[in-house]
Amino acid sequence: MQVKAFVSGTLESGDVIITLKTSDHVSVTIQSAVQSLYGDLIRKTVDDTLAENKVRNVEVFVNDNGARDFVIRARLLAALEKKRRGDSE
Amino acid sequence: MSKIRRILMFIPGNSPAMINNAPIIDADTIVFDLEDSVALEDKADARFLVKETLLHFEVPGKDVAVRINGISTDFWMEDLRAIVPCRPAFIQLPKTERGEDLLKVIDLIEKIEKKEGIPVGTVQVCPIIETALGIENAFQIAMTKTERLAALALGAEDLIADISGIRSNESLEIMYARQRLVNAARAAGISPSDTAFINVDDDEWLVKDCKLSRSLGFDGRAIISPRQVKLARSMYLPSKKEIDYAKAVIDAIHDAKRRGRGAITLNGKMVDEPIVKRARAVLQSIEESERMVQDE
Repeated sequence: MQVKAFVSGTLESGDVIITLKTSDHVSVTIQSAVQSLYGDLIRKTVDDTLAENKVRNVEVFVNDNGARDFVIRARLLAALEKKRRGDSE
Repeated sequence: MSKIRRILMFIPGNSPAMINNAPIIDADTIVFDLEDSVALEDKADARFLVKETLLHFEVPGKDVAVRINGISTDFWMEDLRAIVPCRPAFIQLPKTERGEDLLKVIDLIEKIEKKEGIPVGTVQVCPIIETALGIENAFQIAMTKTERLAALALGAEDLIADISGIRSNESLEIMYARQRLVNAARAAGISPSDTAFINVDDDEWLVKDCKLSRSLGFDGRAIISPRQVKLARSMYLPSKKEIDYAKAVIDAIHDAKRRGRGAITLNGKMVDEPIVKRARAVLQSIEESERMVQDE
C-alpha cells in the first residue's frame, strides 16, 4: 500500500518543500545547499515545531532552498494541517 | 479621520522571497495578500506563511495588513482565525458590497479579539469596493462601524469586468466609481485609497494616473510592484509649491489676527475658511510624512 504524502512549499529561492509521511516514529531528513552551515538550525526548527504540536508519528523530508526559520515553520505547520485533514498530494 | 496611508504595497502571501523584501520597500503599509495572488490549492500554505510572518518577521517602521479572501469564499473565516490573533493593523476585505458584509467580518474579528484577550477594536478593517453594487453602496459601507475602518479602497480590475467596461490608460471607465468612493469616504470621515496601477513598467502613465487620483481626493493607492513605490509616493505628497502656499496662508491668517483683521487676501485672492482648511491639511500631511521617515 502506498503511503500518503502531505506537501507544503515551493522550490523558489528562500522557500522550502516539506513532505510528511505517516510513520510509527519521528524521522527528519534534510536536503539543503546550506546544510553544512545551517543544517543544525533547520533540524532544531523542525524538532521544536513537531514537539510544540505533539507530533510523534511522521517522517519529515526537508528540501531547503535557503528558507528562513519562520518559513520552514510555516511550511511544516501547513503540511501537518494537511495531514490532519487527510489532504494529500 | 482615519490615518493617511499613501502607499499600500501588496505582497503575495505565498512568496517567501517577496516577503523577505518587505522591510526594504519604502511603503507606509505592507499588505500581505491571501486573495488574488494566491492559487486556490495554495490557500492553506499562504495562510500559515502569512501568520508566521506576522509572528516572527519584523517589518520596522511600517504598518502591516492582510488582504483576506472574500466572504463569498470558503476561506475568509479561517483566514481571520489565523490572522487576527497576530494583530495586523487592519484586514482588507475584498469585494465588499454591503454594510452587512462588513458587519459579518467585524463580528468575527471582535469574537476573536475577545477570545485572544486583544482589546476590542485593535484590528481595523479596510473594505475594498470592486463591484457595481459595492460602488452604489459605498456610503452605506463607509458608515458601517466607521470607527473600525482604516480606509475605503477601490479595486478597479474586478469593477471594470463587473460593469463591462474597457480598461484604458485614461481610466475614464472608473471615473464615476472613483468620485463616488472618495465622496463616500470623505463624508464618513475616512481615508479613500485608490486602486493599483497594473501597467507596472509604464512610469509615464503611472504619474498621470497618480496626479488624477490625487486631484480627485485620494490619499494614496495600492501598489503591486516595488519599482512603482518611489514615484507613486512622491505623487501623493504635496509639492513644494503647495507647501509654500499653505505656509503663506497660515502666516497671513496669523498676521491678520495680530492686526485684528477679519477678511484677508493673499496674492490678490481672498483667503476664506476652505482655503485655510486645505492649507492646514497640506501642512499636517507633511508632518505625518516626516514623522514616518523618522520612525523608519
